[in-house]
Amino acid sequence: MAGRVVMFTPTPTGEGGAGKHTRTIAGGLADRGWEVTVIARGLGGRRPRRSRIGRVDVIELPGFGNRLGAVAFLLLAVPLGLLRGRRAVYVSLELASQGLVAATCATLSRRPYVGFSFSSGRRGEIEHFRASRLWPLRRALLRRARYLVGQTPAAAAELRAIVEEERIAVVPTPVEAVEAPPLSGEPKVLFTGRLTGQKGLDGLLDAWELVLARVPAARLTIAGSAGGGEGSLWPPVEEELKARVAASPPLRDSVAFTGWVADVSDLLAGHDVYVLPSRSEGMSNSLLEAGAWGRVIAASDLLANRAVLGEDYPLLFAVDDAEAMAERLVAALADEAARRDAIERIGARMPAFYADGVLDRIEALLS
Amino acid sequence: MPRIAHMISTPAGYGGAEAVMVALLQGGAERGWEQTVLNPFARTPHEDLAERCRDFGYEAFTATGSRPLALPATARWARRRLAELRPDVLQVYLTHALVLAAALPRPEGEVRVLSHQHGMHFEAADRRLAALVDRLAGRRFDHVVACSDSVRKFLVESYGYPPGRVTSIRNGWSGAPLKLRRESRPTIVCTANFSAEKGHRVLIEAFATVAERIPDSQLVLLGRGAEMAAMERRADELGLADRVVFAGFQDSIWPWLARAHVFALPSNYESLGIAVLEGMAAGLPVVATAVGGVTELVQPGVTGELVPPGDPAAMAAALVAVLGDPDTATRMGNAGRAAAENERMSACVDRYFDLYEKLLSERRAA
Repeated sequence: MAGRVVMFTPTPTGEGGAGKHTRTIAGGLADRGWEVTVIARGLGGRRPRRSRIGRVDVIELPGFGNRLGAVAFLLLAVPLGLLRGRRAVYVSLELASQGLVAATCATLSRRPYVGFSFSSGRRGEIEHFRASRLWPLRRALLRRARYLVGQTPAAAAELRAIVEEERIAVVPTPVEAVEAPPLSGEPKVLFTGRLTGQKGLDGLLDAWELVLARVPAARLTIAGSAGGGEGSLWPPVEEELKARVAASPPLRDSVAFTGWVADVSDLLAGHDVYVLPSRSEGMSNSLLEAGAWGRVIAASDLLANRAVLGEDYPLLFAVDDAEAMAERLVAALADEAARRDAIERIGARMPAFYADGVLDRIEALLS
Repeated sequence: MPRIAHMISTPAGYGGAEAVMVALLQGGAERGWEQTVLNPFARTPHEDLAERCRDFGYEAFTATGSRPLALPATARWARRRLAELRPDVLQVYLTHALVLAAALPRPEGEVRVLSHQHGMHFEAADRRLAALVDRLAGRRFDHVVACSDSVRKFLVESYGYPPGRVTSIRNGWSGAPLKLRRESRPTIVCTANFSAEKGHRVLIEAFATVAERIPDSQLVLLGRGAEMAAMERRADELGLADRVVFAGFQDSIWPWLARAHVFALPSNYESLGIAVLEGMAAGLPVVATAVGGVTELVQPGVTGELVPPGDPAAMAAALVAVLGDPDTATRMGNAGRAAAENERMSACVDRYFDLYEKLLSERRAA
């Protein structure tokens, strides 16, 4: 056994980035011989539930989606974490309530704690914390960390508000290296993710009307739902988007909603172009997956997206700029040279995010 | 837009029928169809299925389960819901739902399609009454979808269904095959739950020969089931305890496939053999038994080798040949991957909706 890890995470099973992040990191460590216990704030269940995901032991505590629920989680999770944490390293995959629980356990048991920041920038964790009256208390607890980890250099820079440079690491979100099928040449664009205001999908529909004027055969698939977003800082937009599409004949004929899809592999296999029009991202799992699948990506110009695609990636567009988004999408769909260039650039970037290498770095922080 | 109701009898668990249904729901959503799922024989709310169907209108009748005395209440519930929904297509999966749907009155204009009929299983297990009920109930449907050409042949020849009312649509595979990162030891992998029909005993006995011929080789078995303990004992008896890995159920098979050199499936019976498609999709040469739908998937000498069921010597010879010729194995793996790409679940969904459209237009014309 390489060692023991008690990992606090928002969800081990949820469809969003947090769930995938947990499964990849916890599962990867378990495969490498670590004994991993995941303790999560459940997705709305009212009773604690114990299960196994592969070799990972999972305990989901009741999830009340309000402030009282956060307090209840603290009261339940700290003793449970201490009970399970003999000679363990405590890890949290976000710094909010999970980070506070992990830091408290580490402090009480004098064990190491490594905290991963899950979101940054606008409406990110640090911005959110600093606006809170509890900021001094949170900071004091998180200062106990052996390392705080940002997914991007920009996210790491924000962590300087809590600990000194030497205790900050940059570790990207891991993604598996996929053997993907070649592009089909069909003008199909895919978005996968939660249907909340964060993702900028209203802007995507604005852009899509412009795309249709130039590529009339283009089709857009929006996979996801607003569900599972308890505690999200962004409002759901699913109904609004569907109403808008239903009211517009060109959109109605070219935009499809699939609802939430547990496994997006078939969708990625069937679409050449992936679009991520987000207003804010930590490091998008969906973007990384699309990259691992070798799709042509058009994404909003966020620091987190640049960290994945590269500083000079040509198919970035300004947030909420529908015309620029449309122009990049048309290039991604119809400009063969632009498509080849994008795929080459993405192919060169992706190995830095492959799970094997990222897990090496995480193990180094834990050991 | 057309309305479709999916009726499935699934008290718990998530298998091939459920995977096809969820894929069809996503396909229906993309096409703008109005959709509902009815699960009349759920003993519990079946949270896993409910979660996967949450965007499509999932309704489970949980008050009675599948106890025989509760059947009238279950039938009343299903009849009432179908009368309210008035679907253009009623798509039915699995035996309890098949019998229930066959017993319900059919409104004018509704097209009824049946999938996942288990007659071949019943015949193989000599369950004659179950096979008789299955055959008679299936006759009440407008159309039956067989998950392989072998199943279609059985339904036409043994059940006597009119050929024009049976279509073969292979179940598709889903997932993300990983780039191969093979173990240094020659590795055979098999993904199949441990039941007698899967033939693990033959594979383990075949591996005893492989282990003698290829000293570093190992066999990795993924899955769980009633036969697992007996198979562990058999491996022990053959002195293979440290050469056979019983990896249990795995959340994702792809990392295990990516580390292997050859995929093996020793089944005595398969309607289709999705596991074979997954092995091919992973880029592995396949050594499998020539049963059921597997014969439609594996091209001997091109994507792998087929051997007779229940023959450890033949399976051992094929495994040794493939493991001993890396160039041919790579060529077979690449050919298998290309062939599997046409069998993704999305292709299966397209074929189903083509069938629905055809049946609806025939119904309108009539």
